[in-house]
Amino acid sequence: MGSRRRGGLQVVVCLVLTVLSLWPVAPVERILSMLAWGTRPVLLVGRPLWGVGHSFAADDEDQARWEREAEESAFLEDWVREQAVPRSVSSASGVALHAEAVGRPEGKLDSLLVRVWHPGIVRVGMPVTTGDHYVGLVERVRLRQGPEGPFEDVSVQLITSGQARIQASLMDRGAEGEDGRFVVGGLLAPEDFELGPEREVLAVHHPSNRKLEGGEVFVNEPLDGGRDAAWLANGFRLGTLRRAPKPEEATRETLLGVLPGVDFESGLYQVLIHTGWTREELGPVHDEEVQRGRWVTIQRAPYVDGAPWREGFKLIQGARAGVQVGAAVAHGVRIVGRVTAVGPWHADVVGPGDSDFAVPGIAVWLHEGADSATFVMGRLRSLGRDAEGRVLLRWPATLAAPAGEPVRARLYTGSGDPGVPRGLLLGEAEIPVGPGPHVLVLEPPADSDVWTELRVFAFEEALR
Amino acid sequence: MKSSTGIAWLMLVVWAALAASVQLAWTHRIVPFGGHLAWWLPDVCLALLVAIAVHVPMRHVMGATLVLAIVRLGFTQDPPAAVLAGYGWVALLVQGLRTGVEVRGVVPRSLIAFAASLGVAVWGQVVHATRHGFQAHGLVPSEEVLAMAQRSLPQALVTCVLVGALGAGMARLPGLSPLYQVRRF
Repeated sequence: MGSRRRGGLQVVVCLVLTVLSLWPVAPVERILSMLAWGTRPVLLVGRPLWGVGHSFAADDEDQARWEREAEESAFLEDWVREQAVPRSVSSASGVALHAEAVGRPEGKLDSLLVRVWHPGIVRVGMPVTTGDHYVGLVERVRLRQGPEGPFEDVSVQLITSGQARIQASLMDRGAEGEDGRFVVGGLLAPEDFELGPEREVLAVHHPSNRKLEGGEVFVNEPLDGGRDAAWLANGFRLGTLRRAPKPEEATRETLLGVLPGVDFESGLYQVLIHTGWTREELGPVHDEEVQRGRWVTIQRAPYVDGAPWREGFKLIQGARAGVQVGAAVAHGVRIVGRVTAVGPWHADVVGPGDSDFAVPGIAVWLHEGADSATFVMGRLRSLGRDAEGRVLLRWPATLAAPAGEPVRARLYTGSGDPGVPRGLLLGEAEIPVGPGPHVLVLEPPADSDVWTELRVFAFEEALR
Repeated sequence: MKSSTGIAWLMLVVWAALAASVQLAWTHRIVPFGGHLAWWLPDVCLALLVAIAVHVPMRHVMGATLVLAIVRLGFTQDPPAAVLAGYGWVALLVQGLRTGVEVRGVVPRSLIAFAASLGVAVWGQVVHATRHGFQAHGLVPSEEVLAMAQRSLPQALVTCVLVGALGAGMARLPGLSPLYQVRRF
């Protein structure tokens, strides 16, 4: 081949790679990533130098701090689970099963994928709630087999879906609420209610009375002639009724919406599925959570990333050691990264300072006198580090923090991501009040560079 | 390919991996997450690429590029396509210049190293931002690219000094001599 033709071919290859870098094509990415499979021996070339890395000795103070963090983490494990239990609603008789959010089926934001550890009980049409709030109805149940036994991945059609409908009423409008009956389902544009784009507004359909002003909205499905088992959610909250300041342009009718009390986009961690079955019908059901994954001890190559614009490191074990894409990597109860790519013998991990890093978060208030010890934050995404090395996190604040002065909180991971167990420590930050989005300045835990032992979370991936 | 040339490619892998390991392990010792210090460290794989590409016969330039890009992949989270594209354009730049300019001198090879390091660093940031930060808005805006270039200047300067001072030695590291053998017909 002539040098001119070879040069032309090289230009074409470089152009193609340039385009694929900016607009990645999944199958080509997978093929190119095989090039990285050979990097494990490259990493091991420098193994004799690994001793020059950090001093891994931890003193008594470090040990005491790690123990305190572990206690707080265990408290959060239980606290998050308890969030699904209603506080002021007396739910209908029958067994309600705990389920944990593990993602979105096929990436749809109007559906939620939850995992149930007791197969054979959940049916399509059963209502789903979290705390005192209505969430949606079961639309699909898939039986799966894990190493600890069978379980089910359940798709829930959220009330935000365009197809979702539930009958509702304003309970403070007369004893029976007859003045204020309507149907709720789907979303309206928040701008019509002079709200920020991050806020969700549920649509109100066919109101019995268009002069409704406001008030708390509750599920009120008829027991006879209603759909499936939706009535089991009667009494659960949908949110607060709101009138749009201006009438709808096309129909000149007043637009009514409901401001939900939960963040449907990223704040759903634990839910209850109301089965309607009695204890006698089901027999003994131990509604205890089965271990939802396990930790695998792992070894990293102690290098910073060769590209200063990235933050992460390589593991010198990969898929053959049980490492999965999306898995949390932790030291003790501190999350230090998430796996983004896996080969048979190596894996890439991005640290909290890389914009690839995102986790569901919970804040534990550090001041006395808070109404609740904790606050569900939804999804936190890294924006990199500031000049002082602190991690910047984007917090959408779909539901703003309780009013008052910005207060300090310790941030932990929540549920909603199968690869990240709840209760892993991120660091401390001032939590701003008011509508979002906000940028949180996260101070990493003290001695965050002392890593004695790393472990990676092995989990059952959610079905897409 | 003769076995001696194969051994030379292997030695290039070892030298590049060793150089990157020393640099990145020491950086990890000083600042575990890299931070601002990382911008003051040379891009050793790229420095080796420029040093070798200006010296080896033209037929080996792309081979050296591929080998060094793979080593680089071992030490970064950057996507393989971006690393291969960045290094590929540097090789094409050197090849293009070699057809009309003497590039082995201290000044030309330093200038090439400066341009290559700056270009590759900006390119890596553009790819990262496009893939993760600006997906909703398309490509990164030009003022952001300027800020990226400004951030990358220290690394480009240090890489430039490294290639200027040690480039000739880097191109003649032990074990690489088979790459310089003249082809006999």
